[in-house]
Amino acid sequence: MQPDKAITTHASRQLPGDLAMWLFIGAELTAFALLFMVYASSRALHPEVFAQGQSQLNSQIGLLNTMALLSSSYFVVNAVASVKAARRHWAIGHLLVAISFGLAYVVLKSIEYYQSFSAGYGLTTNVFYQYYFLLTGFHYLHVILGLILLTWVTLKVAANDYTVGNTSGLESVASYWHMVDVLWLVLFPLVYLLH
Amino acid sequence: MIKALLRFILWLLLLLLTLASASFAEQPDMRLYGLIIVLLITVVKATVISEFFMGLAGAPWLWRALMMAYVPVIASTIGTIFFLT
Repeated sequence: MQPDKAITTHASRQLPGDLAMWLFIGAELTAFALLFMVYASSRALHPEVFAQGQSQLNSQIGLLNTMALLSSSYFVVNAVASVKAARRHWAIGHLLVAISFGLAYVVLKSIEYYQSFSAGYGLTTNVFYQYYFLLTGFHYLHVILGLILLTWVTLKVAANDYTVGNTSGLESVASYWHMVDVLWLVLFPLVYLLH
Repeated sequence: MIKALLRFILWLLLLLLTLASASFAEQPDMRLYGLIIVLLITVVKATVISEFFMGLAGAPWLWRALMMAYVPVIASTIGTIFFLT
């Protein structure tokens, strides 16, 4: 038994970022969990409507969007590591690439929405499109908020506001961005892949 | 350097798993197995993100457990609903 070691190990375990951000993340995950369940339950009640609606979606765009968000998350985690290693210029570069991938997601998703609306599909078309636009639209807004936050922390990194021992704000935004990624990892198979 | 290499390998793994899940989902003769494989891949990808990208491997156990359980619980519920219908 090594009590000193146990205390040290327990004390060294800490959340990346602020507790407030994690409470927010918990609330967001709960809200999306309910939406996922509502979507899956509704699909069980209207299998033909959902099968027909899913067949109209552009799964290639969904796949590219998944790649874009995963890549964006990768560059965000690299940016946090760069700040912690006092490599500010690398961090800025990583954040800019992460923002670019996030913007690619927004552009691709906007194209997909445009295609759907042009083909005459909207929120009132049927129950599938109602939940499709609700789920993906809610997530789309989260991506836009994440991009605003990433731009804000990029400016703060450029201004040298984060130092080796002071990265909590950056880690909070990074955690939020990874949460947006995790939510899309569920959304992508649920809406595009599982017919 | 080693951590950077690990992150790079995990990123490639995530991209490959995404391609694999899209491929499995398109197999018409693997409906049930395809569903299970796609959901398992989703769980693996989410675990990689939360443990290595979010950095929850070093977080308090309660937060780590909550995050680790989130996608498996969602995926198994979705899988059950899809399987039953």
